[in-house]
Amino acid sequence: MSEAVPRGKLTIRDLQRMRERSEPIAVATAYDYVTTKLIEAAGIEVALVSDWGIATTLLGYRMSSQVTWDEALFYLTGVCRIAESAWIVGSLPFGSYQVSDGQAVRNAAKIMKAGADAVMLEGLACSVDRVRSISRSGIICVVYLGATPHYRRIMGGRSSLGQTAEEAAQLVREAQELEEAGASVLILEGIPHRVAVTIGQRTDLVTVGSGGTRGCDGQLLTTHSVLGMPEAMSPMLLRTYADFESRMLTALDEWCSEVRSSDFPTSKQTFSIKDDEFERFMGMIQ
Amino acid sequence: MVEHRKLTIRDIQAKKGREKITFTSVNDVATARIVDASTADMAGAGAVVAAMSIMGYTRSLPSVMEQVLIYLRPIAETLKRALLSATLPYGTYQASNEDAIRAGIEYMKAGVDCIKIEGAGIMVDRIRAVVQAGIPCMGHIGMAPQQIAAIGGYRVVGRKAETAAQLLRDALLLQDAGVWAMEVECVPDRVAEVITQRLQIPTIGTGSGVGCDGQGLMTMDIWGLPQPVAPRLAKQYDDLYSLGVEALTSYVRDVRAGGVVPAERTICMSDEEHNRFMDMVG
Repeated sequence: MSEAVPRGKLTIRDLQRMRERSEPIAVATAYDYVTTKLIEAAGIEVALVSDWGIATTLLGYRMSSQVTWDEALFYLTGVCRIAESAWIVGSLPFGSYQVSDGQAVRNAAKIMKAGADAVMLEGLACSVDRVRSISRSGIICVVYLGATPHYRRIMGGRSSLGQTAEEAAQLVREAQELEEAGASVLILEGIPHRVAVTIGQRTDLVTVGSGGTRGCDGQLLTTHSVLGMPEAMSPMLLRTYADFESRMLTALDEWCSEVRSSDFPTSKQTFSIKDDEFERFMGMIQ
Repeated sequence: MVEHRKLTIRDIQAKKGREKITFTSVNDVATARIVDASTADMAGAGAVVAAMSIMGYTRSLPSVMEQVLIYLRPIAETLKRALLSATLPYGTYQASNEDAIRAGIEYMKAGVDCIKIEGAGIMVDRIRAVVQAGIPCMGHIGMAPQQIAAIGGYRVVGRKAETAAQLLRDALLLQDAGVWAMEVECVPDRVAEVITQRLQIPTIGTGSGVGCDGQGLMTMDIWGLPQPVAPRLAKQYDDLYSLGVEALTSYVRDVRAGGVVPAERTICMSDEEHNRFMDMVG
């Protein structure tokens, strides 16, 4: 095993510089020790502790809106303890920011206390106000815009948005309003390439494409999707780079079969006792 | 033979002397699906998983009940075949029999098939109490992760005749208190074999030799994935850390080259709509 040389903690300024230099930013999801170590070893800049991933990959929920506050904070706290370099974005779970600006600021502060670098909320009608309050409180805001889980829920599963001129113009207006309110990063889900490019040109926000969206400053793919791990109903499942699921199953069955044939453990995986101590032990228990 | 229904405590006990038992670990729904698709008999998902695999601590002690329950429920719902055993978090069972019963009931409500309590001594009493309350319980002797401060770190237990004899006495007391199986961790092989012969219940060894009735190994160790503390004697059956870094590095390379989204999955807009859109935004 080799470990990447720690580059020091990344900041929002580093991401903005990458945007200025047209150097694409890599974003992936992290939830635990293994996923955090893997993405940092690969040099991924942003670790997203996403409520969508917690819902579908870790806890087996159908929708990200089912993730509770305690569940989201548990996984986020772990990633923040483990990560050394990645810029960590913690999701505000559904229901933790919609009620009022005060609720949103209080909960965003708890996400920061867990060790995150920024909070993420979905682009709902109330989000411009929430972003204004959260960012004025000194917390960096990432907004998830486009065909988000909320959008898919109310649209009965439609996974793209912005293919008509009206929808596209609305997305640009929303992005501009969010920027004016103080947002720093937009994750754009399921919107046309040229609309994403226009948002990138008309705002100074760092944009990240997800779910078929190209033309952004960065790209998001879930780590489970990259590794080829079982992942229920992910709209972000675009492509895989490994076949973890079948490799894991093969390795596990190989171990089981070695145990059954007594080929595991060998002396290499076994502690032993000296002969004289063993004889004394046998004498004691007769 | 591999059963395709939920394995029970009786099924596992019946394997003693006939077929070796396999006991591995699960972290979440994704790994639970894989373990359930394999031929492994049992899966563990208790205090160690929460503190070490998820939170990244080097000990299992920081686990708290509320955190473990977060993933136990979905794992219990996912496992349709493998038997789920989970160690109670440190601090939830030591103080009194009532504490132990309450903690055990929380786990049973989350859907585990049995709980596990580490150690002997005063724990014999706790275990008798939970078993009498109808909560199936596994024992755990030798190197108990929650007692590493007292043991003096992750080390072998039972290399002296006296401590080996104490392990056997503890095992018999725990069996008498009602544990249905016993994990035997980091105990010398010949001592573990004697314990296995003297017990009617199955023993599951970790580092304790081929003479036990079954073997325990964490999935992360089997897969070659990193943990906060590297195991001393585990065997890797794959090197998924290297494969994972390689896969994610290829992904990063594609991101830098601007080519992650395959052409057929790119979301497009017709030229006509794009022209109207550009007129609208000026």
